[in-house]
Amino acid sequence: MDKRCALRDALEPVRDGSAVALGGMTLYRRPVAAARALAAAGRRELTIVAFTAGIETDLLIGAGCVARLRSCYTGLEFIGFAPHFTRAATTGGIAIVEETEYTLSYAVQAAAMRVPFLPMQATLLATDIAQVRPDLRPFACPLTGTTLLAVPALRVDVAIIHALAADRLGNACLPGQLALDPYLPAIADTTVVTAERIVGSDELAALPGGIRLAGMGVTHVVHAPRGSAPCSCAPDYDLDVSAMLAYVDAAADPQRWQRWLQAA
Amino acid sequence: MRDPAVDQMIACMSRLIENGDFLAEGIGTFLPNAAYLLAKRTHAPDCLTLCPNGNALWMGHRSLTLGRDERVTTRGSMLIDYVGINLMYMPMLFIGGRPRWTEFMRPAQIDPWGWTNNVCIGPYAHPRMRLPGAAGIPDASPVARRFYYYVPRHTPLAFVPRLDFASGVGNPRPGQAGDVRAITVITNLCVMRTGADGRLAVTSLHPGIDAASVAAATGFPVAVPPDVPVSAPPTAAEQALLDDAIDPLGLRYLESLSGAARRDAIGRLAAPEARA
Repeated sequence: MDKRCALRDALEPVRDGSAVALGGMTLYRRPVAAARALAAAGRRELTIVAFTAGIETDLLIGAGCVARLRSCYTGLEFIGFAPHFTRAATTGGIAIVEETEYTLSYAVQAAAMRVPFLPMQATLLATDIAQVRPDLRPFACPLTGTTLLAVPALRVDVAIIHALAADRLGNACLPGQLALDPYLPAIADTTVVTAERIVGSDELAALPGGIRLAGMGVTHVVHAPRGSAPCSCAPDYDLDVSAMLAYVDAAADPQRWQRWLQAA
Repeated sequence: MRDPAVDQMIACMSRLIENGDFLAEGIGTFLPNAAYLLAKRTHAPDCLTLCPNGNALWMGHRSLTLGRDERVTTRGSMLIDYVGINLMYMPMLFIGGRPRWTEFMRPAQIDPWGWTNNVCIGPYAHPRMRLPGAAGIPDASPVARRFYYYVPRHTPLAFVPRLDFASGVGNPRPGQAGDVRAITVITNLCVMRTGADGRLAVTSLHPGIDAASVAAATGFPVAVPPDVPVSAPPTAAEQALLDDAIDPLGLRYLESLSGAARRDAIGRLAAPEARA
């Protein structure tokens, strides 16, 4: 079953209001080309789910596509704050679901298991995060009676993952950064893999790192060379630090920002 | 751009690491990463490191890079996804306590009892400034047996009497129940540690820093014992390792900069990195 298609067709399942999970980690192997395509298509009211959110999420916020963000860290790593996120969060432009590493990991695992929640130790109740996350509900453990926290399962409509290489079935090589990516097809109705190159299955399995994403959950495969830039896609290309700084500079000025968005 | 206070902080942090510790790197945290690499090159060669950049459990040595760690960290080590990290390794380390877990976190605000904030400045619903988020600090801080923070700019904006948002759990405040744990804070002026009362007090002053400077830079009264020792500066061998092997580019000094100065420094550093 050949899942190859054009980026535009692969992103068609993303509608206004969809929940979209974006793969990769901080500034590495992010689906930037796909995010730019969503921005160009003018999608609105998206809920973005990202274990750590970086430029791929920030540019969608800057393009007015995002209503809600679920992440435990949103920033540009050593480059600094994510400019559109930082601004939108102070002006009320987006709603933020305050996550931690544990809450997102448990929520994704619960969705993958098809259970409504997973129990977590209730230690988060000591923080103010419990105040702003009333959906994390304390309950008495049926076995011991101790208080636990129910972390609700988190499903998404569409997951988008950028890979070094993929075959036509959606098996993919993710050398290094895995983040939550291997789990995303299990919690998404549609999973899009964009890849630097499309190769045969034997060649894919022989690549350093091998296959780390099973194609059985993938619905669309898109050839997207430099699809992570200016983020890295190891080992093909590194993070482009100068381009990241140019992004931050452009985000500070409305006219320059529109030019950045329109640049191919 | 050399900053002796940064190297002093790294020396203090390195000496808190024991051989065999599980060392967790943060996101873009050059300063603790330099301390981990220094400890591994000196008294703690057998430490395992968790590298977020690479999603790898990693042994060995490297030089700090401007976003190019994947070249090294994704090779020759165990790759791991974040469900594995958060549903297996971290509970084993935080709650199980073995091996010893050591990580230095950077808070935006810290209060007298070691509670911290990495979420927002001002009220949560209408913040004056939004911060990147607390990532794993809310998960680790309530259960860790020891906790370390670092503050490269020791000011009353960082050391506050009351947090705007509590995302890191500290010691029980007066009248609250709970165990007092050792929370250590390494700053550009001194080292602080919580005492039996759970409250931060100065345990050493960096060379050339007096008690009055620390008091003026801290937004709440902080005890400085009259016989407080001076922090041992980096040895010549430690300084040489930092300069030549661990961080020849001086990326560790970025952490004491902010705003335009930091952006310009990254711009200058990006040029030679791009050619590397």
